[in-house]
Amino acid sequence: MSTTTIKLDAALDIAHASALKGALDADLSGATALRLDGEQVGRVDAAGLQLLLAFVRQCQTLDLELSWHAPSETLCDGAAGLGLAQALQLQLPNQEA
Amino acid sequence: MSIDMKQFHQAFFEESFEGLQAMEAALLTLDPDTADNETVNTIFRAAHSIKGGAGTFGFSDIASFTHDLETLLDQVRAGQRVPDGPLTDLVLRSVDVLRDMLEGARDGREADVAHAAELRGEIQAMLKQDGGGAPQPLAAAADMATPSGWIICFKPHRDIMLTGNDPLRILRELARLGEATIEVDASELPSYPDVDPEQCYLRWTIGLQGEVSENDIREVFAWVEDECDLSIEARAASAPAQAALEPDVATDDSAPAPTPKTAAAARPAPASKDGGSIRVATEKIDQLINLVGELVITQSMLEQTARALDPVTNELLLSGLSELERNTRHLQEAVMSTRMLPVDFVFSRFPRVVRDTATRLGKQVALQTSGEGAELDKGVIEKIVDPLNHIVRNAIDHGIEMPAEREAAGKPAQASIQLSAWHQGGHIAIQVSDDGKGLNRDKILSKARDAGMNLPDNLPDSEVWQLIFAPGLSTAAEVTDISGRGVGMDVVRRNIQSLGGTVDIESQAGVGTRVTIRLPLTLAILDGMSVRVGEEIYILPLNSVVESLQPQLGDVKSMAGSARLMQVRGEFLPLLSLRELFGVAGQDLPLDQGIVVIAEAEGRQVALIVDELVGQQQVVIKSLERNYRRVGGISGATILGDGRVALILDVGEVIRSRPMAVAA
Repeated sequence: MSTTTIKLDAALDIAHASALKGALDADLSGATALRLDGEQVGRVDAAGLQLLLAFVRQCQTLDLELSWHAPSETLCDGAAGLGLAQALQLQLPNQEA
Repeated sequence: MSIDMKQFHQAFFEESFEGLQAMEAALLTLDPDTADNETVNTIFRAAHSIKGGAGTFGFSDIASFTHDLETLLDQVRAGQRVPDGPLTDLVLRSVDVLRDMLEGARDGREADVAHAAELRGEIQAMLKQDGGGAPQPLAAAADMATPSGWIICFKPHRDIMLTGNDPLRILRELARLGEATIEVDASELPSYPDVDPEQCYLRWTIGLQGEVSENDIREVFAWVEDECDLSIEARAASAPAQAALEPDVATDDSAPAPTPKTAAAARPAPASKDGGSIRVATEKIDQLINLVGELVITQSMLEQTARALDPVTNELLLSGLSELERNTRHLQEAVMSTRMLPVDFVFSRFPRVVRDTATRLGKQVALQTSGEGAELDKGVIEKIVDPLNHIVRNAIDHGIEMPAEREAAGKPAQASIQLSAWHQGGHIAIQVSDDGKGLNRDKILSKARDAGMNLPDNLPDSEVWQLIFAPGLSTAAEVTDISGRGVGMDVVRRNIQSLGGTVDIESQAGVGTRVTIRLPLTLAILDGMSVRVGEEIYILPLNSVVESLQPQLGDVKSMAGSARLMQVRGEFLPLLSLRELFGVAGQDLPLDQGIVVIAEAEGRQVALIVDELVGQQQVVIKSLERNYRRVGGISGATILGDGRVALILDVGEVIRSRPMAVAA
């Protein structure tokens, strides 16, 4: 099973949302499992997290196994603040591949 | 790069004036016993927005004045203060001062600083009184003093994030107020490829536990109140948080993401007032109207030219022209409708006028309005405010009796003033009626005679009532600070006439007076009857045309000098020749071969001799004053289908130019 890792940038916000979308688009093809590396995430807002939610849903639709690597506190806090922790699978213990 | 803030000033002023109007309207409906949160909030929000805007744009005096006012209103909102008479009165006066300050800032003139400072002192004095120690909660606010929690439905508009607002920041601030349970509804989030990252598709239902006031919650949403649908409801004291949430939040465990059914939709969230509107400068619309006017003229020229063409060989061209005519008409109607405003724009200020005037005079007056939805041109609306204001104040001052006098006459102590509006043909009628003592015929006649008018005793009532519009004849003996502010009824009539309108009075002693103003819906077009005199075409406004007929020689009587009268159904009307009036070349046809048009204005009629009736048509009014100069008896001009200019008759002025004695 090939696992693709996507390293999220430091800023998951509206200013970088379009760039993030482009990055996620490119990395979706050909993978069967995905690992999101959220270690560097230092800034989030509703736009960034909403896009992430759409991406996570897309992975689920495509039956891609999704896991997180070291999501930062900022990321987890932000997701919880919007009530998205569960939907983003961020409230579970970190899953290491 | 620095931003020139001046470009935003206009919008700030417009919004602030609208805010003040909303504040005023809400204040007047505010009853201390039944004050509801929404009304209080409306008042508070308006003050809050003005303060914010004034601060942003550097109008520090407005901002600091509003700050104290806002503090006062905040106490009302929090239930610490009852919106009783003195408070409402103080806030209403503050609205006036704010309006003055805003106008001053807009027009670059000095506002009445002393008055503002004085009022600010009063507000501060009121703030220092804490209502006898214990807070006096509002009837409706009592509930929110100690609610066990709140349920907040926050539905951001799609573009909320584009304006720099972040729902995450808002929800975090909210979570700081108490224990928050945040449920997200992502049902509108499109599939990943279709997501526009800058649009907000999510909405939230937040359960908030703790000692939090509604005020605190609203404060969190203060910056986004126009960019979201928000509902805040107190949770029943006994209901545990989760139980209150459950009925609204249907969580489907099997779904990958919890997507509660739209809680916001289930609740009566305040409807967005912004029906997708944009602000457009009036000049741009006027320019559009002007261009459409030109188009109408061009179209009618083409139509006229095409009449000479053979309908068989030119069938395609002619059908194209008739389509052009239809489209032009629709375009004209559509463009005109953009300038239309509901008459409520005017009516909404009258509760305040009536309240203030009646209070000052010690009279009791109830105001009823109807037909507020009727629309008319913005230009007409703006110019009708002052005349209408004067008529209403006059009615209260002179028409309505003191309560004791009313009771003695067997009337209820509280008088009634009705303001109504309705559409009538291409016009709007606005009526002010009162149930006061009516006009005093003898008094008016004697005043008119004192002023040197030669009037017969049997002058019909309708003409006697018109006398109150004569210059210098306003009830000078009864000048008060209400209606004696230097504006006489003659100015009222002149203003209405300058809008192409008419004003009529009906009155019955002891029963009341009814003033009816008739106005064209727009100042840009006119329904006219075109008549020919020699080579010239004149347009008579259709609303002033009573009838047209061919006179019999026996109907015409000559008076001393060159004055002639014509008998129409037993009544003698002054007979005028348009040819003579405007110095048109040629001779009138012999009377029994010519045509006479009976025209009416200001309750008086005149018979006008013309050569021929040409037809009825809608004409685009062009200002003669702006393009040439003012001409007596003419209200404007228009361009005919063949490119010629036709003058539009000002029937009122034509009649006024005849001495009254002739009419008698």
